[in-house]
Amino acid sequence: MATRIAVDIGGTFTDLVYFDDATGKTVQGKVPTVPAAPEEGVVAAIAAHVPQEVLTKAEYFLHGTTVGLNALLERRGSTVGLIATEGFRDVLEIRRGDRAEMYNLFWEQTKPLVPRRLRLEVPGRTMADGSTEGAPTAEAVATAVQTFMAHDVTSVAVSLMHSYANPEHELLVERYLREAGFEGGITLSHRVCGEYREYERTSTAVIDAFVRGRMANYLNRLEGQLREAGFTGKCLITRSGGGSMNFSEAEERPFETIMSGPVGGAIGASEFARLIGDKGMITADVGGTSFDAALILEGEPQVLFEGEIDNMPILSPWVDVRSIGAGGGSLAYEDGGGFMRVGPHSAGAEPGPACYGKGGEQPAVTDAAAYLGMLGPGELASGITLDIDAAERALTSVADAISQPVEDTAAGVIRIAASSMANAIREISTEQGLDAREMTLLPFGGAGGMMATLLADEMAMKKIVVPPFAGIFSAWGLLGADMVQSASRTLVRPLTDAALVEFGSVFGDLIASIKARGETVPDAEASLKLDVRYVGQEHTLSVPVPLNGLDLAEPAATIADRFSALYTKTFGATLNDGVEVTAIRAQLKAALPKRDHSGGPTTASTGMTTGDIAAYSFRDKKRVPFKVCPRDDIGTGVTGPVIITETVATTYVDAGWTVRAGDFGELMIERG
Amino acid sequence: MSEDPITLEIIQNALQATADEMFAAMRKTAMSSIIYEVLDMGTGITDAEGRLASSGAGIPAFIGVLDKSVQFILSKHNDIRPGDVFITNDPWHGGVTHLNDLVLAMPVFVEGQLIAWTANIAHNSDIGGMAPGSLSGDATEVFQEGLRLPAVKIINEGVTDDAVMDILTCNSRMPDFLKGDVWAAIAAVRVGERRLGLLAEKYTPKTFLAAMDSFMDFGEKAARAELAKLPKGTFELSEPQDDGQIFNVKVTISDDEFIVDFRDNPDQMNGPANATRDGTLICAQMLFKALTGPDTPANDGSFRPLTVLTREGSIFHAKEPAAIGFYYETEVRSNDLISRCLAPHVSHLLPAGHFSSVCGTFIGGTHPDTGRQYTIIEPQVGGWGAGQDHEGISCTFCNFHGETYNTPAEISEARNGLYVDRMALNTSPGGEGEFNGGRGLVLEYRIRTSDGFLTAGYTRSKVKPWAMEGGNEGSGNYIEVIKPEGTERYSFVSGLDVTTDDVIRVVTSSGAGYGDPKKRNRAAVDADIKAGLIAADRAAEVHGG
Repeated sequence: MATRIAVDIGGTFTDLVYFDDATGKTVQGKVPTVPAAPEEGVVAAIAAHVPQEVLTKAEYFLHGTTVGLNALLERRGSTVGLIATEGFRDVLEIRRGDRAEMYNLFWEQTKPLVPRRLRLEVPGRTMADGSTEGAPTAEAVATAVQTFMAHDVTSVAVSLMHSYANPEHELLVERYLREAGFEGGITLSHRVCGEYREYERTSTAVIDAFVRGRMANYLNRLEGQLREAGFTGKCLITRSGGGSMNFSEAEERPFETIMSGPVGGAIGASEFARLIGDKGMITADVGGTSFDAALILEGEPQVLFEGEIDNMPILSPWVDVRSIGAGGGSLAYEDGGGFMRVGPHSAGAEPGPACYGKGGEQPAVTDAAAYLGMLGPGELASGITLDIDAAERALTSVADAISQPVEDTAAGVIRIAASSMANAIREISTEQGLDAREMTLLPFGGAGGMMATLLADEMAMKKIVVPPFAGIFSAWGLLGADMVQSASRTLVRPLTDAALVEFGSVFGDLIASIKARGETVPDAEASLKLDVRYVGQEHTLSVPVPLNGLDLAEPAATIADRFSALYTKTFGATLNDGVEVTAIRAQLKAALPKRDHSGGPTTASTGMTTGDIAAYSFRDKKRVPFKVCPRDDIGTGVTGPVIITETVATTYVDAGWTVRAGDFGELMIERG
Repeated sequence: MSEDPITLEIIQNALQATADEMFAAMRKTAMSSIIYEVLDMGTGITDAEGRLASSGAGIPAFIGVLDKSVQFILSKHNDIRPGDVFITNDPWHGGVTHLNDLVLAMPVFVEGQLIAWTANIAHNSDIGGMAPGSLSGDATEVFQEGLRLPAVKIINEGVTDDAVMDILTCNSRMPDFLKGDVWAAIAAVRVGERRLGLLAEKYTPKTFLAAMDSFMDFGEKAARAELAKLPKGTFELSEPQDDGQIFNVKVTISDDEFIVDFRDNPDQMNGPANATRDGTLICAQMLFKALTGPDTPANDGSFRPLTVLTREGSIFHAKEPAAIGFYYETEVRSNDLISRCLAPHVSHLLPAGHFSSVCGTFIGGTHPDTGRQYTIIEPQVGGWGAGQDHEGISCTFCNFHGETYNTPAEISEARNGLYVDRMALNTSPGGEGEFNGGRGLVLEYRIRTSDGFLTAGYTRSKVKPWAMEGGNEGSGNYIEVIKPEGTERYSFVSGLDVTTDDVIRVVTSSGAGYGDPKKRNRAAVDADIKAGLIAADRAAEVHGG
């Protein structure tokens, strides 16, 4: 069962949850984030909420952070040098030639992380089949090192053509770099990514080199402070592709942690879906500035193999979380043409929505909700008293501009936000050939419960589950993150029984390469996916293949059938063409000891007034009496309209829905 | 009260999301790399009368095609029913571009009423004609460029017309690809049709139609507000071309009109670089949009103040049966002509000239590993012009394109049976200014087959990208073929034989500079020298000491 602590650093708050094995209790807390020194926020959260004896006996510290992401977004990383194949040093700047805004003749492309003077070339060429012509020379590398040293380069990325097919030249360059006296970090592109597309692989290697120093410093400082505070267990950080890895591996492969932050919610949703036996879930994480949606099928998040930050691609496993700029803080405004728009600009933490009374004057989604009574009588458990008059003043300015009553304008703000969020949900459901109506909505985050029935109505969904710890659910999710390591390699072959032998041998190599990374996970379970496509098409689907030990346990025909079935489900049609494999993906996964879910949130007195409030019903399109009820008082069934209050979140249940308490502290909301 | 501005806003967002959804569906299921990788495609939605309501990502020059196609279908057919899908590719029958571009369109009915159309366009790899890939520099008539589809039904109330499908596939050198891509296009219009149907049912057809109308009115209002800020008067430009022809444009801007007059231009040519009237109209639309609010959605209303005058029988308004395979180079020229004409008067809204060519490059032959015929069709990236306080961007597709992608060298080598020896910024002199133009490309393909061919058509080779405010013009686009017996330089070449170890070197232009190069910030010049973008002695000469 194992006592464990999870800390998730967000833009505004650092959320903490711990599970105490001795009592079976899960405890939550929140402190403000310290942007300049995030580890101090972590330590502060632990000091404030975790008793010393729990810290001392805890076996795991699980962490989700945006340190790597912010380093990238704010361009605060190492000075990186790049070594490329002769003729290809400009790949990073040429990109793929696309332009994001089609009518904008003044569009700016993202500045490459490595300037041209630090992009240097070496001779030697590897071909697509792994054969080589010539080789990098020690002289060329030594010359490059002189330039790097003159420019204080602390981190070098090496990205040579077709290195996925044969890494020999990159390994040679690494040796020459050391021989020439370079002592900084070295990223070899084939180690971060075994796939073709030179721009994307180079971009991934450069990002890794760029965040490496910063990430290592941060993890070292954090681990040092945790040890000083008396923690003796294992330190783990979540990966962009789900699961977690040791701090030591994260220092070696920092590019895998770039999207560590938003993944916690998807991991938590997966664990919760398995717990309650739900086959198909859509998460709706509504925060202050953003809305994140993810699809959870059969208790697993959907994993992509490419992500993108600020127009820079990263080839690494990537939980498919779609984000849009719509949240509780999103601002409404008149667009100059008589229409109202909502977001993506946000009131942020300062000044926040007008109703927080900290000087905000533009109306935010939260102001509309407060004005409409969706948040209850006006006293939030977090201690904030809502200034409804301020919300009304802010809304009036926009209402006047679009010539609508304030009431309709407020309802409109919520409806527009809900419709934008629904469009994001459609991207991950109907666009993937799935029927959202048959699935369950899992809302969480500060404003998830507020939007739940609206989103379900937009999507014609019948069932909503508000999980326990909804307000800090991403941190809760970290508590259950399995340890995962992965590797992949491009290999284009027809899917035949003869080729399976080669796939098996590459898979064995990949597993060996993971194990060679140093500290590996004991008792890890290996799994294999093949990227498969119809001959002639480019887009592939990843097909899981059962294993017998480290051998493929199915004949080619069965794998092809599995692919066809997946293709039909995704695209609604199947083709009669041959099938080929383009990449092999290996994963090692070790589950953390299971935790006990019987505890539920600790009961704290909410101090809330209960009774009735006249709040706006989107079904009835007018105000109706809503019951106001603390979460702990929801028993076997309460019929909406009702507003449910708890420590860190509010759930708005419109007319036409019924809510009851589930077995694990969740709220089950169903139509009828 | 059902038509409140909030419901309208929600429907408009959904129209945009639907166009994007069709785009994603088509990209994922297409067979040809020019669709799924290069994204030579577009999707859109029109109202019942064929007026553009919203469009997906992709090629801006494709967006304005779809409304014209639907309008033609409406004028030709009086038996349009739910479940029908139409196909066209012929510029005199609702197509706009060239025969390779198939347009599929589907009516959307709710409660028996036609409320909208969903449509898409994509480049198909081979539609028959005299040359592999259907495009030949030797074509003199459209009949030589492939099968013409005059806006016919390919699906009749949900039932595929096998006869049409058979004629299509029988006329292609790559029937499997063509069939796969047509099915991807059909799937995409159906995705959109379903989604719009549900939307109109939810909010009632009446409200849905009102939302489309008001969306277009909003587009018009936004365009007119920007139009009011433009300088008024008539502006004229005559520009010599690489081949010695003179092109002319007159632009008249008044309080409520933006008139582009292309009537005084040469007769249509015997070769395949003719543009159609609709194509010329679209190029004017693209520039008009860039001037009147590039960040607001483009729909029918956005273009209402625009009038384009052409002369039938001219290169910008070719008469049937002109060859039109390489129409795009002429379209790019018409767009650039308006830009060059107006830039001196709106220097804050337009940058200096960019490499301004699709640089269409076709290489084919027998694949050395598989023994099968292969053809790669690649537009090329190049440098963009500098502007006021703006350095030109490097190696980006021309303004005819948008969300278009090049083919990675590693994929070219793994799949296309040739080597890529170099993919680098072109650092040859040109494009300097107070603000520099972006860099063009040097791309070297090495041939691996004995029976290869090269076809290419680049403009802005002799007449180079135009500068502003005293900057230097760009370096020019060209292609070189390096053989043991010597190197030849081309800008237009059709079916040139290339063989094993010949190198095809694509060189695209830098964008032009803006402002006096002597005024360039010293630190920026030093950075250029350090980056190896300009030699120190040339920097001293161009930018001063």
